[in-house]
Amino acid sequence: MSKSITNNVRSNEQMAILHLFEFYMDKDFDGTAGESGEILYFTDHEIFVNDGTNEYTPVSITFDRLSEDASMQSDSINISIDNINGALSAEAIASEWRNNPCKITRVVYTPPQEVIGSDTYDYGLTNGVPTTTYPVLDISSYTKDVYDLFEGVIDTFSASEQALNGTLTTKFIHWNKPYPTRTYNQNEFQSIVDALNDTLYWGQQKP
Amino acid sequence: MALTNRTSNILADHSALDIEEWHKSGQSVTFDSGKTQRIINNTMPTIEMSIEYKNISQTRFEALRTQYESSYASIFILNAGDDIDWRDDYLVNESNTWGFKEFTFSSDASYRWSGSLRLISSVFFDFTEYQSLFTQSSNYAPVTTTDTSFSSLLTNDVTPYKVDYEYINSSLFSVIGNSMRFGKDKSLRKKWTLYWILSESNFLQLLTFYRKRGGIMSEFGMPKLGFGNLGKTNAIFMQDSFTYQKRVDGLYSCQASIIENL
Repeated sequence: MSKSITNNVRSNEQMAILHLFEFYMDKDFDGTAGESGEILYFTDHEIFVNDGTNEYTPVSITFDRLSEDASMQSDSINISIDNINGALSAEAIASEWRNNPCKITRVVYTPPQEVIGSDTYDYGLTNGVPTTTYPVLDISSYTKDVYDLFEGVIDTFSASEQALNGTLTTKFIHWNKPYPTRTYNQNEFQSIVDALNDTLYWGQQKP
Repeated sequence: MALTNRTSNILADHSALDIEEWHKSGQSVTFDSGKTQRIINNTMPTIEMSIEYKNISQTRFEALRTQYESSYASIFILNAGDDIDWRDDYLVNESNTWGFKEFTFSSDASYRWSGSLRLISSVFFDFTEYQSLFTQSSNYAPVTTTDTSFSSLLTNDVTPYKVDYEYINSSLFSVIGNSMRFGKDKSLRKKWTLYWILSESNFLQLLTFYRKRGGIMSEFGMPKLGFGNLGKTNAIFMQDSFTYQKRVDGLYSCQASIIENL
């Protein structure tokens, strides 16, 4: 997917960025969603974000710098997610998180004009958030550029009462995994020694 | 709707509002056209508001204390007026959600109080979709005591001329950008700083008390206001907080910080 930003969202000097995060909490070995198929949807925006398909929950979530190169080495990205309510670490400990797919999507858009009271704001503050139901930003109808910023697997995580810190690794990590070496257990080893010690006597086993 | 509206209780008798509002504008970047574009990471303004009070009565001070103690780790609603907090104009009704940041008051021990409440806007709105993300509570329960060793000292000879009253809030807070989101109650303690100017004999009474009770094992009853003898809670001296000077006129100027021991 192209990461270029089109003229759709850059016709003026100002644009907004938000990020959408998806974490698969359960998957089978083939990489598809497992029995429960649970996916956590988060955004770093301040209110709920709806892209027309999913609704993303606002949490305090940050990630550090991501670098890319052509060498296909595994790049990783560190994220920090707010864990004050403890729900996230409970979820992470209860299910096997590691090696599950995750995705960070960047959405670039120009905030549409908004009239508040008698004043017109060139770039709306809330971009048409409904005024009767709970505040949610519906970006489905916006002119926007959406691209996958990062797609990979959840590597490790650690949690405190304040934050859950995780490392996400690109899918290329799978190219980097060592081939499992053949190992022998003690029983096998004994039979091999026995066979070596066993003396053959003129084509038949020694009595 | 779950959140408590504390507007009338907090804003009554305030003398001034000190407000700072800022947008979370991000950085400027240059794209391949050479044009510099400004990135707005998040768009909702954050408001930090300090509500000032001058010489309010004991009753009003007690009312403000009650507001703070029942909401020090919880989000509440406060309508400060459309010119200050216009979130109910561009969002939804009752979206004026706030959390407490600081509670600092002082008194000249005459039952008149001056000080301020510092608030910061929250994005934890009063809708099920938001509220179901987290259950909030503020459970402050001071430990009462019948010990009168310190209060009898304060009410007889060792009367402070000034008392600073504040809270040490150990609660955790979740934030998005600069806005508060919700808090998790991790205990609240009162903290008093007392200032005295005393004659030598009275100062020696205080110094003797400090030497007897200054250790961490020594609790005593502290009047809830920091002076007088109303409602004593368990308290200890803060470590190394007792300082004094002998003045040229022979009087002693001293101060000490005392913290509630839950």
